[in-house]
Amino acid sequence: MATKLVLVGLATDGPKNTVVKVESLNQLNKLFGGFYKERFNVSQTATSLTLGYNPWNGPANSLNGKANKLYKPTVSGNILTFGSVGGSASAVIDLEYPPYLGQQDLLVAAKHYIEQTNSFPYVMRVGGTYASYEVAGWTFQAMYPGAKYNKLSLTCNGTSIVVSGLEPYLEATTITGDASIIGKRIDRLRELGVLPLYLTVAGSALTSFAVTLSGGTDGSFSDSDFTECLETVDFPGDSTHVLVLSPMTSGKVQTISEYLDYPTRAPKFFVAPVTGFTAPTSSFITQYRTILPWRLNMLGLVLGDMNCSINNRDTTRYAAENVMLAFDSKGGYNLTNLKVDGWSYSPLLEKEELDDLKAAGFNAITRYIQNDLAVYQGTTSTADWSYLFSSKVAEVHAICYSICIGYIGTYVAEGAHPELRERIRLALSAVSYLSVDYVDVQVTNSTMFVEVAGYLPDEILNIRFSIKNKPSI
Amino acid sequence: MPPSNPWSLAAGGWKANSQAIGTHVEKFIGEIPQWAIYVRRDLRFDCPTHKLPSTEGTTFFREHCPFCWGTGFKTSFQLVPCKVSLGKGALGREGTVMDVPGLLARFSVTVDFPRTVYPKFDDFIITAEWNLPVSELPKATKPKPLRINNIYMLKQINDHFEREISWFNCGCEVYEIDKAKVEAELPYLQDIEVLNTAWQQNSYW
Repeated sequence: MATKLVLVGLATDGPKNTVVKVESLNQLNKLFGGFYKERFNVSQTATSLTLGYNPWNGPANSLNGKANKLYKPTVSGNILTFGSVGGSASAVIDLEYPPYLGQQDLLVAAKHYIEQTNSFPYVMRVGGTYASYEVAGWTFQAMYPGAKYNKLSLTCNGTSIVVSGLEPYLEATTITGDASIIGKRIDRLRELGVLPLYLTVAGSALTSFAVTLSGGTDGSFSDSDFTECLETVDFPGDSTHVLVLSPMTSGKVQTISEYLDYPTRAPKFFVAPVTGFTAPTSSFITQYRTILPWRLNMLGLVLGDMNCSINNRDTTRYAAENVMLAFDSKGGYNLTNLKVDGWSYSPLLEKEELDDLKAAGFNAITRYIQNDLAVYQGTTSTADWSYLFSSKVAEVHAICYSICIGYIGTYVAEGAHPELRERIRLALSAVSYLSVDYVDVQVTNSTMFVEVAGYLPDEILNIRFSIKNKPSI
Repeated sequence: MPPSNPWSLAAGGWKANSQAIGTHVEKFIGEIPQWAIYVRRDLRFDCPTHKLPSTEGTTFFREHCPFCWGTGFKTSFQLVPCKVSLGKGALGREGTVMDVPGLLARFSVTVDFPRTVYPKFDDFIITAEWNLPVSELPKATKPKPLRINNIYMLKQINDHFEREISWFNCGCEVYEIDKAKVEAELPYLQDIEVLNTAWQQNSYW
């Protein structure tokens, strides 16, 4: 048992406010919109296209149905330029790529995680609204939130509904039947994975219409998105840390505080980036005192950005992401000497500045340039709580939970349970830095109480990173 | 001949469905194995620049070389079905010298291959993103890898031969080769051979 991270960010497809444990890269791409498809009809003299999103990689192209036939396609932002397609008639260009939503992009963070740790993370999408259409007592809604579902068109002639248009290659699906069973047929096709549609309100009789759904958005990780997410989410029991891929605001801190205050929820250690550093540190700290009046012992704020390479593409991500991925790589057992995937970061701080920030509850990174080592001083946002302490609280909780979950709903005799006590004690013995004093398991009035007491080194944790040199290409 | 089951699966009845379900089922079947580029070393041919007579056998230069890809031997490429399982592996407590039981338990990455792949020690696989949906790879004539995800070298191979189904279960390590240089070679891999006979396993008995 070590740290286990939940990534929270933005995506263009997939379920929102639901923690997903992916089992393959293909599944991740498929679920969260990594195979976004666009079709363009262009004239024979066309040499550029404006894509719907900035592509993360690719795009894979096909010209009039033939793969890879565009001449020297290059992407800058969301503009794709290529050699004139030629020919005597207009051409059809099909593109497929994963959209990149910037530093908050969940898909890229997950790919980064897989590449670094060789394991699959928990991922959760935040934000977005469902595309929908209402007509004569019927309400149709897209399966997942996202702007791409605004392309889904419905055509009804009074007896059957034809669904089409989501992707260039998607076959039109016809749903026929009495008004009373159309909902069931839509459900069945959706469960088979054919039709990304819900019928949320069914009317009494079908009327004729021909529409595309509207109102779908990808979301922006606003405070209200995050609040909605934490009010509904059920984090996996064995997860310990939650990486929020969005700069902290007072609204988000308040949401986390309310989550942690809820008595039946397991404590998780939240880590989030803080941006917008301007020297001197004193004015930055003063500025953030008004922005973030709430301070939590289960929240770590990491300042700045880090340049790194994900899937061999140079990019800038939050320093918080790189730091948390370093904790999870190599099993997360060694907490003080880690390899972070990055070669530079900003802001570059002096030791005195780091001390100031640390005392105010911000984690930042200092670098000893001579030997490519960096030091990150783990604190929580309350500054007087150690990072190590809060992180271990989440870890101990996750271990006890994963052992005791099996007893929920079963009969367990009243009184002490030494065998369970020893199991928990054994599992806790693998937690680095923690020396367990005693574990007690008591069942009283059909409720199991687990008490763990232990010792931790009483200091703020110094974590040393080795910084990777940028590969020369 | 009567159908083997009520859904005429063996007769391919589901393919004739005019609805999208038939296509969907077919794509699902094609997608369930993950696909990876298998880089096979041919031990008969040494790399002229990276294989030294004085270090026969086990010298890996981990350098970019279009001939040997850092292995010291001539290499060939094949797109093969496989199942890459990523996980933490078993680890001892920090600071202890503790070995874990099991041949594959110490590997954080394990890969399963069908019998027809016949993996060998120190060959490696490249997992990539493709210019086609994964479900179309088994039927594609010219799939093209767009971007490398990771490169793993096979370090332990267990074979499992049973009557109808047989497979290889391999423990892998991350192959520390410069991905940027490997990726620069990707455009020249676009006519890669696809091993699509994985489902036609014959019984030896």
